[in-house]
Parts: sequence; structure tokens; C-alpha cells
Amino acid sequence: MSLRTKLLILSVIIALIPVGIAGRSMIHITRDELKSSANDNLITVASQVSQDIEDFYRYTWLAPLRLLKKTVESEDLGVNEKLSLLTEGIKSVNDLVALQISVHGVSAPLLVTQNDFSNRLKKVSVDPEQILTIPYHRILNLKKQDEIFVGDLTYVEQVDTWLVTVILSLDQKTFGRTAMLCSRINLDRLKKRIENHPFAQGGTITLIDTNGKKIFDKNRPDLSANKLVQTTKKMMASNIRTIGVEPYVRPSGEKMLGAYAFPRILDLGVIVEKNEADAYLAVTQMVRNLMVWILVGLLIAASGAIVVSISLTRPLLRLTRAARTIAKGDLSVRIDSKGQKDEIGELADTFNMMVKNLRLYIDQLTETTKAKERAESELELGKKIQQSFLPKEFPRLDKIEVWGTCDPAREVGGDYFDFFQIDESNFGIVIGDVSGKGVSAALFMAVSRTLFRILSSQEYSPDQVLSRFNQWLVDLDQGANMFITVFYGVFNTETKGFLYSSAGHNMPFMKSSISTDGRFKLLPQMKTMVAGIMADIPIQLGEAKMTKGDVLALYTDGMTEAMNQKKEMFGEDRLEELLEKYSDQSAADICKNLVDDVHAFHTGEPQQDDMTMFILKIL
Amino acid sequence: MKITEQITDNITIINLDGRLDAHTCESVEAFFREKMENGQYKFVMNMENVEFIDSAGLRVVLVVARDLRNKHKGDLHFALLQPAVSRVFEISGLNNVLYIYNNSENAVQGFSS
Repeated sequence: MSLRTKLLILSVIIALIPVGIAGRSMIHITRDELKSSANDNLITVASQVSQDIEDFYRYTWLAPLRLLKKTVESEDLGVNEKLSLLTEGIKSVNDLVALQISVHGVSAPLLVTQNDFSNRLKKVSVDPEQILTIPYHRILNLKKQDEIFVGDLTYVEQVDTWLVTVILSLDQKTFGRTAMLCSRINLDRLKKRIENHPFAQGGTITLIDTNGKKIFDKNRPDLSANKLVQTTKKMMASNIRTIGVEPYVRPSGEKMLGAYAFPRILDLGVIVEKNEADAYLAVTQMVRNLMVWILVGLLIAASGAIVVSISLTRPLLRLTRAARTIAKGDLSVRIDSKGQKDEIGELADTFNMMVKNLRLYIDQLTETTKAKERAESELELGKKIQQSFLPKEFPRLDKIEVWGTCDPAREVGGDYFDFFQIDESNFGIVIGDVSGKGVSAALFMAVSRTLFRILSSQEYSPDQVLSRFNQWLVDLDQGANMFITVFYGVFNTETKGFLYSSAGHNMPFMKSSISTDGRFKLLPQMKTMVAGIMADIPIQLGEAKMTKGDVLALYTDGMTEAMNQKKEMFGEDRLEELLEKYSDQSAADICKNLVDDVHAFHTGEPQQDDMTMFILKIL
Repeated sequence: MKITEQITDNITIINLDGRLDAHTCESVEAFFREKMENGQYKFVMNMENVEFIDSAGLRVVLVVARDLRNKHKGDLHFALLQPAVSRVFEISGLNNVLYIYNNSENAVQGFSS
């Protein structure tokens, strides 16, 4: 997963969490709040309706009835006056359809009816008196000991009117015995008022009696199957009059929210109900709105997070791309930090600096490599020049056989040998080793070679030649502090005498039947010093006598100091043994075999130094 | 090549460990040049742990000794030459121009006499 993806996911999560939490709790709070307000609304309607019923009772019915009661009880008024007042009273109180005065022991009660209502009854051929009169025993039954009785809901089917009965006791003093004022009240107005309640448009307001039957419905259906009606009935039965709200499911499966209340004066329950979805419509709508806004918020937060993380990772991606380009070897890459002053900008600057330095290093490295190559080619050139000075061919002579070979090391070295004829019977043999390498060493050797040829033509005595040779080199003051070890000998084919001197070079082996009892021996070490460093070095002269079959073997330390893997040196003893072994072979073969043997000896180790052999055999 | 040094009485004893050949002689020469720049001109070279010397190595000790003598009135003394090295000194004749002692103490004392 790339850094960008990780950062994207992380920042989106960080952005979404608070919005999500805030949105969730906002939805919760709003839903609870709205639900409780919807519940409150239902309760309010239920208690309003029961309050309306109470108000109707108290102000519309009971107040005029009490006035009429007072009138009837008045001792100042005559019977006719009272009757006319009752008649007037019934006219002025709309809901009052009948007033009845029943006196204990009097069989026929006094009944005054409202004309409009009587006429309506008469129209449908119903006797108003029969319908509206309540027998005295029934009055007593209803009234019992209460001061006022309200109840006895009656439905007059013929005129589709609901009546309620209100009974008040009359003062015994006036009538001399128990008397009752009994009134029948038309509930049409109350019914209309309830029906017109604004709530009735979206929900239903139902009145039920203690049996769970619906009031204001001519069929009087029993609603006891309704769970809310059951609750209400139970409460009415146990005379608990509290207001409540509860959700429930209708037998039809419809989810409802209902509230109930009870008017204090009538044994009936007010049930207010609404489809739960409707009741909570505002909740649903609000939640939906909130959801939309929360979604918008989430989207904004997420896109913000995406924008931020992309803008954060863009420079990193640029860096990565640039690094990839660099990895491919293109160092011309630069990152524009666009003046950013933050860590990203700093990183870009650092990166550019790194690329710049890298380019510098590579340039330097290239330069160094070129210089090294130049140095190596100089070494190579020096080696070639050096090799060109060495004799490759040797003259076929009557009295002696000579052969020399030089096997240069790969890197260092400056071996030198030469063989030249000085005059008819004198031959010069030189072997040397220049300390130093490269062109300067090669040139130093060229100078040495030339000097030798010149000096040896002027002088026979090797010690004189070497002394002058040293003087020449010191006078050159070459500054490179190079020196050369040289062994120089002159062989006279007539006398077979060998005159020699050494300037710091190792002494050769000689097999001489005169001087070395016929076996290979090193010529005795001389007091000596390398040439080219100091003036007036001690040079001694040696002489040896040789005869037919004798051999002289000159060599450089590259032969004897060759190392094998055990860090053992080839050594002079081993060389001596091998010389003895090969002494009957030709000079060329001896040289070749010895060099081969040394190579075999140092197998596995690099050749450290030039290896030079020179053989002279007396024929 | 390992090079260590100790200084007693203005004389620097240098202990070499390894081969003194074409591959190592440059570092030895550079070491001496640095000491000479610091004003050290009297040296004893302890050769106890030098098994081999070639012409390049010879050149360095020779050149250093010559420069110390000619330019700074100092010198380079040698101590404890091993047989192979001793032989090279002998063959090349350096034993005729350089002071060689059988131990470091004598090499140090050599500066007094």
C-alpha cells in the first residue's frame, strides 16, 4: 500500500469520525426531542378534549341549571311564574332539551321541553314526553346520594341525538318532601366541537364509555379489542384518572400512537390516536434532513482530507519519481520546491543539494578514474619502453654462448640487463634493477643503458666504469630519488678472465672448474653501494678465471625473492640446486627452465617483481 | 604495514610491522615526511617485525636517511634487522652507509656518540 493511500485512508477516517459521532448524537437528540414533543401533543389534545367536556358541563349546563334550581326553590314566586321561567330558561339554554321536576309521591312529574327538539321528535312521530320523561324511581336510582348526578348517556336514534341527564336535588322546604330537578341535555354541540377539533383532521378523537363502547357513534361499536381501549377501560374500572400516552399496534397491524384522558365529571374516556408514522412524521422528516446534511458534511470532510493528503504526498511522489530518474543515472533532475517553507520544501532543497553533490562526486570520480587510467597507461608505456631496451636476440659466437630473459611483473619493477661487445675479445655483461616505476624509471634505465655503453667503451675496468656511472647519475640530480643496483662484468674470450664489480646488486652464481671447484657458487660479496644516490660510493673489483664448460648465471632478486603461498622465498639455495641440474643445457634453455620453475613456485601468488636471468657459457 | 612510534630524548623510535616493499613504501615515506615537517629529525627504525624489503623499500629508507643527514642534520638508525633484510642491506651496500645496530637502545645511543 503506498504512503498516499495510507495517508488518504487515515485522514478520511480522522475527518469522518467527529462528523459521524456529532451526526449520530444529533439525530438521537433530535429524534427523542421530536418524539417527546409529538407525545406531548397527543396528551395535550386528550386533556383539551376532556377539559372541553368539563367546561361544557360546568358553564353551559350546570350554571343555568343552578339558576333554574334557585328559581324553582324560590318561595316568592308562584307556580305559574316558575313555569314560565322554566319555559324561558329552556329557550335560553340551547343544549337543554327537557326539564323535569319530580316530587316524591306525585305520580305525574312536571315536564317542560324545548320546542325545537319536541317538534323534531314529533316530525318522526315520537312522543317527546315518552322519550324525555324519566320515571321517579329511576331518578332515585341514578341520583343516589350524590349532590349532582351527571350521566345516563342515551342515544335517541330517531333524531340521531345523544342526550345526557343531569339531576339536582330541590330544597325540601319548598315542596315539603323530596323533589328532583332533572334535565336532559343535547350533546350535539359538544359532539360537533370535538369533531371540529383541529386534531381530528390528522388523527381520531374517540370517546368510550366504561364498557369500551364508542360514544357519538349510532352503532355504538365495542372497541374493547383495541389495546388502548383496554387500558382505558381498566383505568376507569379502578377509578384511576390519569393522562397517558403509549404506542400500540392495532389488530389490523397498523402502528399507532395514542393518548388517553378522563373528564372528571363523566364516566367516559377520551382517546386520541394517530398513526405512529404520521405522529412522528416531523421526526422522520427531520432525521432525513439531518442525514442529508450529515452526508454532505461527511463528503466535505472526506474531500478535504483527500485534498490535504494528496497535496501532502504530491511532493513526496515527485521526490520518488526524481529518485527513480536518478537511479536510472540521469542526474539532471531538479525538484522545484515552489518556495515552500515547510519541511517538504526543505526536503526538496536537501534533495536538490544531494543531487548536485552526487553529480559533483561522480564528476570527480570520473576525473579520478581518468587520472588513474592515465597513470596506468603511463606505467604500461614505461614498461614498453623499458622492454624495448632489453636485448631480444643474442649473437652466435664461437667461444661463448649467451642468453638472457626478462619476465616483467605486471605492475612494478625495473629490471635491466645488457650484453655488448666492447672490442674483439671483450664482452660486457650488465644486470641491474632500477628502483621506481613508470616512464621515469624507464627513462632512468635508458639513461643508464646509454651511459653504460659509452663508459664501457672508454674503460675496461668494471669498478672504474661503475664509479663513473654512479657519478654521472648523482650529477644528474634527477630529484626522483631513483637508484639502480648494477652488476657489471667484462669477459675476455682470450684469457677467459672475468672482471667484475657490483653497485648494490646481488652477486651472480659461477660454476668454474678453476675458481669454484666446478660447482655453482656465489661470487664473494663485495663492499658495495647502490648507484645514483651518493657520490664516491665504495666500488670493488673482483676477478675470476673460467674455462671451457664453465657457466656464469646473473639474476635479479625477482627470482630469489619470489614468494609462495606459505610466504616462503624461492631463495638462493634453490636457485643454486636448479642451476646445477640444468647446467648441461643450452643457455636459452637454462634461462627458460629457471623462470618456469620460479613461476611454478609462486603459483597462487601474484608475481611481485620482474624476473631476469642471464646465462653465459664458455664453449 | 603497521607503523607505531615512541619518542625518547628527542629521538623517535619507529616500529614497523610487515613487508617493506613497493606496495607499502609510500605510506612509510609519507609517515617520515610528516614527522620531518613536525621537526623530528632523529629516528630509530625498529625492523624486528620486517621480514622482507625490496628495492622500492630500500629506496625509501635510503632517501629518508639522506634527506635527514643533508637537510636537517639528523639521521635514521636501524635496529634488529632480520636475516633476509640484513642480507639485502649487505648486497645493496646500504650497510656501508647506514648505521645498523643489534637493538633499539644501542641505536638510540648511537646518536650520542
